[in-house]
Amino acid sequence: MTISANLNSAFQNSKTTSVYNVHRGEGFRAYRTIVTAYNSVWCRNLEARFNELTSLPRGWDGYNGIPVSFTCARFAANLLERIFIDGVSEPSLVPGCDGTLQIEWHKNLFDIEIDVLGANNVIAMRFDHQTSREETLELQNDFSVLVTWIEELASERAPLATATP
Amino acid sequence: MDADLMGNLSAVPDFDSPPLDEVVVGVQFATPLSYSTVYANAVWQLYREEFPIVTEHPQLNPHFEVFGGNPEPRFEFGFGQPPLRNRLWFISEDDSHLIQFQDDRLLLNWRNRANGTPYPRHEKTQRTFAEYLKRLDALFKSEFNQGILINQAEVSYINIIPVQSLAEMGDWLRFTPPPAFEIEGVNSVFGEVVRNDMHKPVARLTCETHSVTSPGGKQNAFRLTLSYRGAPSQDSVDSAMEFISSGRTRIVKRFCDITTESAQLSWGRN
Repeated sequence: MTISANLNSAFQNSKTTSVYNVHRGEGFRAYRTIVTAYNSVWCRNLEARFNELTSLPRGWDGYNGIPVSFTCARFAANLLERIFIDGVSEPSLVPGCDGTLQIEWHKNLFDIEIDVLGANNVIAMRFDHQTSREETLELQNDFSVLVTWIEELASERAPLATATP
Repeated sequence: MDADLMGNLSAVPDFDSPPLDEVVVGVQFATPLSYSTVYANAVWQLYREEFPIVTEHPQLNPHFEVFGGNPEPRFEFGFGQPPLRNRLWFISEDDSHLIQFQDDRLLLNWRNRANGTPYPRHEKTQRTFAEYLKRLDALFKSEFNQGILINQAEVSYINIIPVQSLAEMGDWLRFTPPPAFEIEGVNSVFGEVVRNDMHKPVARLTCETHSVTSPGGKQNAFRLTLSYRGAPSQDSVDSAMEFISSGRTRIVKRFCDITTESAQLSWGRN
């Protein structure tokens, strides 16, 4: 789908490869190209969950909870595609009662929680059980630091030392 | 916003007859919680005098430029209920201008038409779009107690460069395949991340080149599309217009980088 609206453009692509393009020449055959191509296993595995969360009934939480907004879900999916690392299992998706979405991993002695509050409005928290260190970041559209977090989530770590009696 | 990102309009080259086919400026915003289709008529009334013709089209999906990690994903998600609402086109009498409105988008298109309004130049287009945005902002404030919260802005320049043969590509564009190639078609896309002076990514500039043909295949051409998209530094109308202005500056500069000097001379570069 495209924002272009030049229906009368006399020129048509000889070959269409762009995902978003719609080209329609006046008096000529109209055609539309929509390509579905997930990059990551995460989004493929989470498609049903995204579908469920954006279709929640109002009051799903027993109060006035609303479904996860399509904007939050789309933004979260974009974010996940960006930070995907092969070999790391997909996160849990937890709905907020206000239409927001939380992305969570609890593994390798890390708790990672990414709150998608809206487009360009993300709060990321990581707690390291090995060091008891907690980090909180406010992010907009640059998720480079989260890639580092996911890489560390995937890395080998020594198990937490247990106290001996 | 830093000085470089703001751009210096006086430093931007100008063309007497650029090969423009279409120009699009637009924003994406958060849908007001209490918005419903019944408000679409109120929106049309904002623009009806200049845009008396209305047509309906499928909604555009939300699009966000995000940075870091893997290269830009290319996908369409299928989750969620089907869109409840359409996208409306409000079209001018001479068919050269149109406003695209849906519950999270407002776009202004200028299209090259044989008997339409000539391209009114960016400065006027930007002023006009700012005025249209302010009208919508005022409507949202009165109906939803909240103005427009913009989360993405964009500007696109779509050029058509007619050629006799695709082998002439090197006469017009600086990036070309080796001359020994017998070119059947051209499809290239490259994107670059635009950063501010803090080295923070703020936008993505995308350049697409496709070979195209006129009906019947009588005329070959290259369609050269340059788009600048990203999140403005704030969610206000003024911030979006700053973003669009800086995007236009970068697009024109990049256009000059990727087209040849002889091509620019033929388009009347000043």
